[in-house]
Amino acid sequence: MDTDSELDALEHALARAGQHHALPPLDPRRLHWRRLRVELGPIVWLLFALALAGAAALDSRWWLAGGIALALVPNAVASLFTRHREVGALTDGTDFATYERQYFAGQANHQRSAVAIEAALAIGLGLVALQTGGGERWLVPGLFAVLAAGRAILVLPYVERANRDAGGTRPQGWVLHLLMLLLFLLLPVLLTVGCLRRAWLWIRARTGGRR
Amino acid sequence: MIDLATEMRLLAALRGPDRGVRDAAVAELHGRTARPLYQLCLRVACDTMDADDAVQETFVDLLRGIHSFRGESRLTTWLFRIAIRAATRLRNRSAKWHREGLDAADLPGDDDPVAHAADRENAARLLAAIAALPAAQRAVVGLAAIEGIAHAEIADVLGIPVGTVGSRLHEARDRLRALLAVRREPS
Repeated sequence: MDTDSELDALEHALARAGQHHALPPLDPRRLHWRRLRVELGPIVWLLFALALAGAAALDSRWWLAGGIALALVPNAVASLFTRHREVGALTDGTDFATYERQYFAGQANHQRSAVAIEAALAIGLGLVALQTGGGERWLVPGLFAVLAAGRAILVLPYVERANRDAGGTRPQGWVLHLLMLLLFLLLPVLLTVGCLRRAWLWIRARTGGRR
Repeated sequence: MIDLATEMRLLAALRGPDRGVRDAAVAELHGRTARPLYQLCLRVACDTMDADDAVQETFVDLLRGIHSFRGESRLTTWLFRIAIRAATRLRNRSAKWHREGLDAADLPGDDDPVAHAADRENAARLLAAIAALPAAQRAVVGLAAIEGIAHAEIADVLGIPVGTVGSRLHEARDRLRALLAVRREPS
């Protein structure tokens, strides 16, 4: 490139290209990927439920496959349709932006608490497996550990970034999530287990240790 | 492109409670600014599809942030800033997939196929060279491509002194010339 005029000619060609480009009409809802990612959650959940049921069926554990399908699939299908209907009913860009912001703010909190719960279950069930021994017992805590790690590595960063991009509120801190987990999940479970154990000991004492 | 009085009127309408008035204001603003925004985004994102998305995202972000806009700058200045952010975000994402380019359909229909092909090649060559510029220079080049924009306004958009706009533009053009010369030489 020797002269300014040659560069000017190229700029003119690019400007003409920009001038003749057919601009899409303004419709923020036509940002397909944005809609898609809002609608993606229930699809992933449905696929996960189907995969779980499929894995159980492949192993000929029909009762387990049926149980998983009955417990998870109807709700997953319902949420798929609900989300699709909700997003489809948004009439303008402002509504969509508000919906997106609320959705990702909720997801950021939900995913954090899910990671905390799954990690706690993995640790708790891992301790139980450690005490009772047996190779197969490690499968369940292992599954929860994989779920927690997968969610923390793959899902959580994506959701938190989407939340920041959408201008949503910051999720609650990890300390608060752990405190909530302790207060509303672990403590009630431990109290229930303690009560059951006392009841069992009491029954055993009354029956003279015959059971 | 858009005068101050019109900007004030549109801003009031965008912030107003009436959805019909607001939608009309968005449509008017889009009609007046989408083309220059596209020229800017094309040079920052270096891809026609990303430039389209960036323009759309600019308006989504505008609607989202209109109530927090403090009015310390002109509405168009703020719009250009949003567009640069959106186009840069999309550019960074697409750069991972090495996607950049110009759609052949963007070029004007020409009766002379040779002239059409040359025009297309020239535009694509320049866009490929712009893609190799640093982000700050791409933004200046993009803003300078907007018809009727003054250096003072570019400086306001980028938050830099007016003198820096000139020097940055000069550096960008020097670099573009060098890049285009290197690409033209046979390997």
